[in-house]
Amino acid sequence: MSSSTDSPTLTTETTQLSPQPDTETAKPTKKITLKSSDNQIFEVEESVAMEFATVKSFFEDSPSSTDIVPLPNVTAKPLSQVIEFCKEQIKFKANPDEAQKKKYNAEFLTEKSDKDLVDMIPVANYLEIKDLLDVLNQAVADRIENKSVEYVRNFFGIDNDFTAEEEAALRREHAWAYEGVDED
Amino acid sequence: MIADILSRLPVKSLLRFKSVCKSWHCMITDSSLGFQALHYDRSQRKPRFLLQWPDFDFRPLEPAGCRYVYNFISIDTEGNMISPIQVKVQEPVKLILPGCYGLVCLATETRIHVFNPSTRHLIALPTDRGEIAGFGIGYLSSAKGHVIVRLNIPRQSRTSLSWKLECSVFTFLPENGGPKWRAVKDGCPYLVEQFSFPAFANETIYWKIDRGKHQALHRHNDFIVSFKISDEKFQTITHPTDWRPETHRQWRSPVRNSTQLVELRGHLYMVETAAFSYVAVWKLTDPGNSMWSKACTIDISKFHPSFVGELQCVKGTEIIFNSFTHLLLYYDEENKTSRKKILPCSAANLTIYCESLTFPATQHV
Repeated sequence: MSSSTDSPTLTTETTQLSPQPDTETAKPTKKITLKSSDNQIFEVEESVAMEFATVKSFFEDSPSSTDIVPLPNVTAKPLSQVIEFCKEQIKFKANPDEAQKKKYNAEFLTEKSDKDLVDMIPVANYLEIKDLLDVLNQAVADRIENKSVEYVRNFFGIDNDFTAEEEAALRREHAWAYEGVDED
Repeated sequence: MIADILSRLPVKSLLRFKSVCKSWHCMITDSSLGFQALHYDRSQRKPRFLLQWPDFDFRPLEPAGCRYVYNFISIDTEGNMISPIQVKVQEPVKLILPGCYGLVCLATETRIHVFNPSTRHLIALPTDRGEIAGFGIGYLSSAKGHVIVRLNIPRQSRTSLSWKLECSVFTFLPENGGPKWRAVKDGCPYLVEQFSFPAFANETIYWKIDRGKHQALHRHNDFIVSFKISDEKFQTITHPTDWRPETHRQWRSPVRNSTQLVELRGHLYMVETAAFSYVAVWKLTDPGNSMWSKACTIDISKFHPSFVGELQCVKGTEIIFNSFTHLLLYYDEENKTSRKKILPCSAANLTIYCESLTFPATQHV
């Protein structure tokens, strides 16, 4: 597998390979090219791509392959966010600092919109990035924990398939569970 | 994806989200789909405490069955308040047992109740013969159901060592033939301490023998009587060989020495608290042969005795104790340090449980 210096046009979505200021800079890093379903090309360091279990197994299955890795279920925006997250996690793997990592994860999550989070989950799931999936699922759970039923339907784009009578009966059954809920 | 997100939520949110749509309703309520088990698996890692306000209300004008009103607050292990909870029963509550797979068992003079603090369902089990001599709750994983065990004070007084307490069990499983107590063949060879907590581990309920009420013991060092819920057999277990029972009394008290049984990480432990001095913890490594091993000793000479109640749980490297006053005590086993958290009321009556969606469906109670 050769490093893909001759890769196709890099889009604005591409995660820039900023030179690492540490001692590792001497070693040239291998790069792997990923292609999203909307045909955007991402060039990422091998170490980052190996965080994606799906990509890793792609190379294990066909080690000689030099092709671009197509990701047919993944669009560019959530993919770029996932890559951004994984790049940071690699740094924490090299220099474990739980407090810094927690802080980064919290910041990463708070600046994302509800839609960003919900869109990233299937990507993390498809690429089998366990840590990220766990972080995202917890973030979504935290966001909806104290919300109303209507808010949650809206959040996930779910249609209400209960009749008005059925819904009223469910509300009566656990009236206390509807108390103290955040304003939408 | 949705199941993983929802399994992280507290039960209160899930009861509300049952009305989001039919598929969510089904996932949350159908116990056979695995979601409830996934949810319990997560909630096990964040136990909660039911904190009982010291007073209860007697409301003579209320309908029978709810004249005694008890107020609780559920708190997390850091003492943060989660929600107030009210329980109404027929008679004064005598004892509340630590939670078992989400359910808490509480007894009045004549009745045993099963309560899920997270869904707030309460069921009064039918009455059974006689007075309650002891009770316990277990969970049979093979049948995915709770088992409530009741020891009954016998009508005839005991005359010989062959005498045994009668025992009956209650399950919510459909094959049991309706909600009723079923007498067990084997009997309990000893009276058990009525006001200390039994513990449930390895499909077995363990009670401390009420040694003071027996003139003779089968073995001089018999200390625990156990009941295995899978084969419904009683056994006795002797105390650790390096422990002397003479100075220990059964009543909970801050200034006397006491012993406690507790389940931690799936095993039975015995905790000895010597006021002004130490807490010693033994693990039952082999129930069949009464083999114990000393797990740790904690120096409590610096604490006022009212600060050290029962060992409640272990979280990370910290052991959490309730107290006979308004605080929770955390002892870090690794660093030999401690910290405290102030609570809104006395922590003397505190019940540990984990949130669970399970509640057995019974029709007539």
